[in-house]
Amino acid sequence: MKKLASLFTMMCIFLTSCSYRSAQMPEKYAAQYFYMDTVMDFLSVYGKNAQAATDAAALELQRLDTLLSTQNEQSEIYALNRDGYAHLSKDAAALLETSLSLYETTGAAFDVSVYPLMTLWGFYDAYHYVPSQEEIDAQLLLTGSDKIVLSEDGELAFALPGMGVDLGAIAKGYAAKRVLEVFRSYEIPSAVVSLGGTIVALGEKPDGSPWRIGVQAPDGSSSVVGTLLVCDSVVATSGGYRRYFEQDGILYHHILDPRTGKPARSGLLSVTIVCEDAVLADALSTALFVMGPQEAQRYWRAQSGFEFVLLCEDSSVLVSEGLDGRFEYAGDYEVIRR
Amino acid sequence: MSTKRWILVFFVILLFCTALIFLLQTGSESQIAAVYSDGQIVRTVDLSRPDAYDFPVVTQEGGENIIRVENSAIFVVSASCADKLCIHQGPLSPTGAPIVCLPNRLVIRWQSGNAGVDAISGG
Repeated sequence: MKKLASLFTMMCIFLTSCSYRSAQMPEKYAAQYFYMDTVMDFLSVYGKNAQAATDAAALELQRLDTLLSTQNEQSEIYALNRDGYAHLSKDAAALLETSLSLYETTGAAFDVSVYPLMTLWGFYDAYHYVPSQEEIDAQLLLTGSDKIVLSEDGELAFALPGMGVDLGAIAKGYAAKRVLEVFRSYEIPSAVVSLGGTIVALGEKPDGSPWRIGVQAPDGSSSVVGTLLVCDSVVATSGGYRRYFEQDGILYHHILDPRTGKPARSGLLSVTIVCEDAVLADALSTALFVMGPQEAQRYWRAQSGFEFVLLCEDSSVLVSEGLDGRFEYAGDYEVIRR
Repeated sequence: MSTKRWILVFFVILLFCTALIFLLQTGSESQIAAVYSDGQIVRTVDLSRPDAYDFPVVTQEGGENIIRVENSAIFVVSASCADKLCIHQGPLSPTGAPIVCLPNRLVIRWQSGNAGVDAISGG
């Protein structure tokens, strides 16, 4: 009987330890907010300061939302677009400076001065409209970041009346950068956050494995075409499938080619950028989408510090060599080397 | 029965219970969808059950989404928002990006995250 009793005890201990299996994983904190016209999903935040760090990050997001929005009347950008000039705060000035620099290096594929064109196409008020070539040409005259003058202490002026900027292609990247800074100041060892689809993957998962970030299928469905394995990086994806309208059977999406004034039709369905620099990740995802596969590869070879996955309209998938072996994909993909 | 027999019986029961625990845990975790309104969970739905029903989620401003559970799937059938993108997203997929209705601040996603990924990068 003693033997049976001890066996029975062992069994109970074993069973209870199995059911407490999940409690051995570190506790994670999660929260969800709505800023910048999207969901800010703090999916998993680890570390003893997880809640405090998330609360602080959410306050930052709220501040940036007000600061950078084109539609919010309290925002600096709203005021800038209305008046044609502004003395920008530190954050807005830093963003504009980066934007102007990217305009140069991307050969105008990245251009925040597309506000007049976006307004023309009705992307702000949902009065979707397919403009004529004359109307586009008129707004193109008011487009071009080379017509923006920014001084070292943040004084910004437009060269022509009627110009405007939209920081939509770079704002989430800046928000991601600030979230990372807040998290690092709170010594958060590991976290994954989705800022409206721009992913911050801080550290590794608690079990030491890389974060698994799915690349969304570019058809508007909620499925995933492939999975990236990343640590300490930001993953940003741009594609026309997220925001578009249809007229007479033709789809017009919101990523305008600043050089033509029309939705970019470069042969790409989506661009995913992996980069340690959050602002760069966000901006380049848009820039490379505008560029198309050939120009994007040339740009990548000329620059450094980021990797990409291009989903092309002809169904091919191009992956930069730094991601080879870190992109799980059911089909074949072409590795692009330097 | 001899003691040896009892020992064998105990081990078989032990193995069976362990297997059951693992199976039950992994099975149910991946089938529970969580419905969030304004950042708070308002409902969890066990999609492994065969039930079929609709339920509304209403916001403070009076916005409304009607969510349907049917054939182990969950999706939005009616929404007060202008663009109805949440309806077009279709059912929550196994690897799924969450279903989102921004104007009504509604999010539907798997409770324990997705089976294959920690987050989904999308435009």
